[in-house]
Amino acid sequence: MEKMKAFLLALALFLLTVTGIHIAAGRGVNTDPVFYSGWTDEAKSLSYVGLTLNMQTNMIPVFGSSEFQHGLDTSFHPAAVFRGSDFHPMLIGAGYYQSLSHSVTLAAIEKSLSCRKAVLLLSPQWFRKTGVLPQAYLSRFSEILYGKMLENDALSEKTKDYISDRTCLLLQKDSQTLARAAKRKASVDGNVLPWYEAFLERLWDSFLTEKDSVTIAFRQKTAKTRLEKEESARPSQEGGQSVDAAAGSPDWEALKKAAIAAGDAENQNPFYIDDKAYQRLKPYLPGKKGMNASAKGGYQYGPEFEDLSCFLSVCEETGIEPMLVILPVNGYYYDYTEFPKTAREAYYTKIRQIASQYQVRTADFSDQEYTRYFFEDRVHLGKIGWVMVNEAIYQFFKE
Amino acid sequence: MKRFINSLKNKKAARSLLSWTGIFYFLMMVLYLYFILGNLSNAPKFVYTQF
Repeated sequence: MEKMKAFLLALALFLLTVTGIHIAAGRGVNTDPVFYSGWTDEAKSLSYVGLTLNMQTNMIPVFGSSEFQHGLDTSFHPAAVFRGSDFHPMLIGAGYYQSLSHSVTLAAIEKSLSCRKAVLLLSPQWFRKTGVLPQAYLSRFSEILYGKMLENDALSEKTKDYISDRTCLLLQKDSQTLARAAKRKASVDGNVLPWYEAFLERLWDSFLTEKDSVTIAFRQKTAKTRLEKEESARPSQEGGQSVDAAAGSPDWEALKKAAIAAGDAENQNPFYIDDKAYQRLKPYLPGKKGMNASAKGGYQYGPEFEDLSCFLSVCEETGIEPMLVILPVNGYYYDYTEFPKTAREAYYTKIRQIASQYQVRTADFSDQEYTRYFFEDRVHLGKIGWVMVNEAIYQFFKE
Repeated sequence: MKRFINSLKNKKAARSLLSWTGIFYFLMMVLYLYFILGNLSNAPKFVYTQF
């Protein structure tokens, strides 16, 4: 009897605590949308609650991958460039996020977008023959976003079927998630679940939403506190003030000059990448010489092209105007590995063809392969690269 | 309720009740934190590698 009393008392206290956490997390998710938009934590891109609640009228989603986690300590990263500006890109993605994950996310969150535009940064490395790797896709899979995508009435059956089929193919390593994903699709397709299964599904969804909300509020708070501490300890960055206070727009010319000056000031190397990245790469360089000489069909075949078309179909069906940012490869490094120029050109042409087929706008940087300091390392955007891409995104938002 | 309050007045019994309450509460919170903050996927861990 005593243990029963103790259990009931503990349960009451537990429910009180959980309610308190629920209220605090609900308030903590969107305390600082500007910080959230530039935050590059991997958990952020998986959070339906975080992305939708923090989306403001002066934001558009910018989908990309690992480049968002590079250049964070410079004044040229979008999080720094647009701080204090009249526009904030909602950066969505991290390493191994590719077109298919972004299709799911866009379809899930599109109703929260007041500015009906989206940007997709296309890394050439996505377009390897394998496409997105199953384990990589799995690690970037959000069940809530997937569920919300399926619930989106604006999406055609064809697009939902494509996403669903690809997802089920890529989730093979996680049988439980795969089973739930398949059940969700069957449910959307009109399969009526028994009442207890429908109840359990609703309970699971509520649990996932709560988990999402608590996790993102907690991680955001921790990251923000850490950033504030770091910023108060750090001296002012190179490049100085980049936002024209009167216009609210970044001063692109000043940023470009600062980017080139910062690049010139570093130790030079044959690839015009950051010295730190070059020093890390240097011991492996002999093994890289000519390693891609046989890649004549490199970046031209594979499922990623279909996934990209799927992303554009999502845009078309939901009334979102997309812009594809065609990122170049690092010409100096790719020449060193002897990756054929013809293959690179064929890749850019193929992307342009897809863009033209869907009649979408592109920001084409394929002619910047040999622009010095465009890259931080072999593949990720660096100083001047970020400035040019940021400018293109800003112009797209303003038009 | 009255009986419950009276039982708390009995010091020895109250101490035992509070101990058990603490144990149950702790276990509930551990379970809650495990499910709410943990990675529930049973997929093999994906190792991030550079291109």
